[in-house]
Amino acid sequence: MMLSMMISGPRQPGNDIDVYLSPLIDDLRLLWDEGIEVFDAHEKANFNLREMLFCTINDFPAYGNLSGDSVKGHRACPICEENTSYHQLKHGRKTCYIGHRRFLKRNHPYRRLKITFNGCQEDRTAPPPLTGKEVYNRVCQVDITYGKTLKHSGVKNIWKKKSIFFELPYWSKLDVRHCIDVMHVKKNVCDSIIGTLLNIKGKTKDGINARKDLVEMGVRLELQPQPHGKRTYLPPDCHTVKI
Amino acid sequence: MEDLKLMGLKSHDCHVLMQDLLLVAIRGILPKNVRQVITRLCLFFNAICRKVIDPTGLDELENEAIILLCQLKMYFPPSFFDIMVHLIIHFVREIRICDPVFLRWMYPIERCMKIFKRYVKNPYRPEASIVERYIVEEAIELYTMYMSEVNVIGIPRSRYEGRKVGKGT
Repeated sequence: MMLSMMISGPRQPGNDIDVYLSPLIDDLRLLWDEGIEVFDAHEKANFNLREMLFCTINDFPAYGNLSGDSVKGHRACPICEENTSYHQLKHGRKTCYIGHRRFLKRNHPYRRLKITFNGCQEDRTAPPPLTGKEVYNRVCQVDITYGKTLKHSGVKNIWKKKSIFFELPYWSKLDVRHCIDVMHVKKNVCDSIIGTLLNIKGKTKDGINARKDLVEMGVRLELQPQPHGKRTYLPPDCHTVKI
Repeated sequence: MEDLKLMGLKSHDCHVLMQDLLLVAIRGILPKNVRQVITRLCLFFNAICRKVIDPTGLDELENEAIILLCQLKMYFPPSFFDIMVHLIIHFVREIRICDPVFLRWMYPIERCMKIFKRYVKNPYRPEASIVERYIVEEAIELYTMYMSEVNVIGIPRSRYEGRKVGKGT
């Protein structure tokens, strides 16, 4: 089924996208519960067609709007959710998501390295991915009013709303409800790699603040910025391209 | 291009850069270990974007992604690791549960968006012009079915039809 939809207005609907999706959800429920009569030209007979929504494909900000999960801040990863390992960079004023060593196997030698990573050994195990049931239990209490409302300062919750997709009876039983779009991830990773390698201004992830953060974390101290009079000298990192 | 910088890359440019060009471009310019990591990252992307994926090799691919990220951590500054880099870890899980990646990515939809963008003739009301022209086109396509003597353009046929039957692609 292919359906094009146009949402008018100068701004994006954001979390209110559920209002626009509700006709689609009604159709999908009908298709799942009862099905419709469809003519099969090959067999020359009618049959009952049923349908289910398999997964949605969207970029990462839209992931947040559709699922109601928060995709920024300290709990940004929608699959690790509460167990997302983050690190707040003091000088760069960013959140970075390091600590991938916890996904390694138990006896991998990288788990024991200290100075190369963040100064300590890693003994946490990989977090189990979030299932649909768990998500449903978390969101079923959340109530939300759509449209322009006054922002009330309530309790902070990772889940912003109960997504309208949960009205489909099978939605909480799916393991992957929203796909991560490979295209967008690839583009962003490629942008940051090329920006860092070629040292493009505004795109590079390296800089004086990044070096200060390295000092703060206590790793690779040979890269720390060295003051030379008025100027500061940044020693070349291993990813600096030599021509 | 004057100051030898790459700017304004589209997503498909990045796709080609990542899969084919970057591998060749960094040959011989970086220290060996950094070069190997980037090459492995490119090969990893190459592996998950394949049309045919061997399900027995998925575990190996998942380990590869994790080790890759750990090695990137050794050589790149911490601000490099935003959430997009983290999501690489979860790709293989989604391949295992859903499908190969090429069935679920956005390139065909982005290409469709380009067609819609061409529809805009009145820049003050872009949405309305898209809607109007889309409806007209749908209607014309429906009516051509009832006209027997007209030669319809319709869906273009593949150039390779007949030559490559039963050989994949």
